[in-house]
Amino acid sequence: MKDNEFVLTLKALGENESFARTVVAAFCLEAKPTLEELSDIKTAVSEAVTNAIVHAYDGADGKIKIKCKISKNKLTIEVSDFGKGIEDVEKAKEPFYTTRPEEERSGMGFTVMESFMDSLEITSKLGVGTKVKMTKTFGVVEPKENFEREEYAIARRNG
Amino acid sequence: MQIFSKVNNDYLVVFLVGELDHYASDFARSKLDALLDRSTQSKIIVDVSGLEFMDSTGIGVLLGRFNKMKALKKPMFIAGAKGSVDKVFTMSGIYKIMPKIAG
Repeated sequence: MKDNEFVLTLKALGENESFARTVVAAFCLEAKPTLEELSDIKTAVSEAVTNAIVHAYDGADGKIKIKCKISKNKLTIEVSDFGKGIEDVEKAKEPFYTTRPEEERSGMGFTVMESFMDSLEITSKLGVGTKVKMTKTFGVVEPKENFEREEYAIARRNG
Repeated sequence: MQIFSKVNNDYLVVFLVGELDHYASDFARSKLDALLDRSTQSKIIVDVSGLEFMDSTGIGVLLGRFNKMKALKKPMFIAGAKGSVDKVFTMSGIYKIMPKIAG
């Protein structure tokens, strides 16, 4: 496939979490990911977008920018917000660390992104915003791919 | 998402169906609380076989319910997790306190 990319700006609304992960998954289909790769990506995108909604803007109005690129079989996703920023990125990455235990946040967001994707890079500036950059390289499993794409399409239709 | 329950002897089985993310979490929390609070069964199974998507928000929701049930000495179990839902559960270590059982 040809290299491809898109940029999408969304309002930081809970309603858009499902939209954001579905758009990214749909964009990836052309690269013929496995079902497992697709659901890993959806989960990681959901974590990044949720972080922006819950933490960057504290539920207030704001924008989230999603930039996605596929080059060869490598996917790069950038999720940016323009909110309050993260004070201590290393601390935020620790499993189970959350600034909002009273809201029953699990503190697992960055841990999930890190383990479901191949790489995770966080840049954040207080009062300016946060950018989460993740990459994933799709495996090449030629004989299975068409079947899996079809299965995914069926699952989506029935879902 | 949809949540419903059924009684099976000592067990209250709650079924989570659809997508559990931050957007669905308020609904999930209050629906689960309503079902768990009025149940008289001594054990709870959370059946997630109908869950097509869950991110780490789901861990927070289940841990919150677990802590409430712990106070009432009611053990909780998780059944039917598949794919990345199961991966999120495993990664979080939640199976250590809410053991995985066959649905």
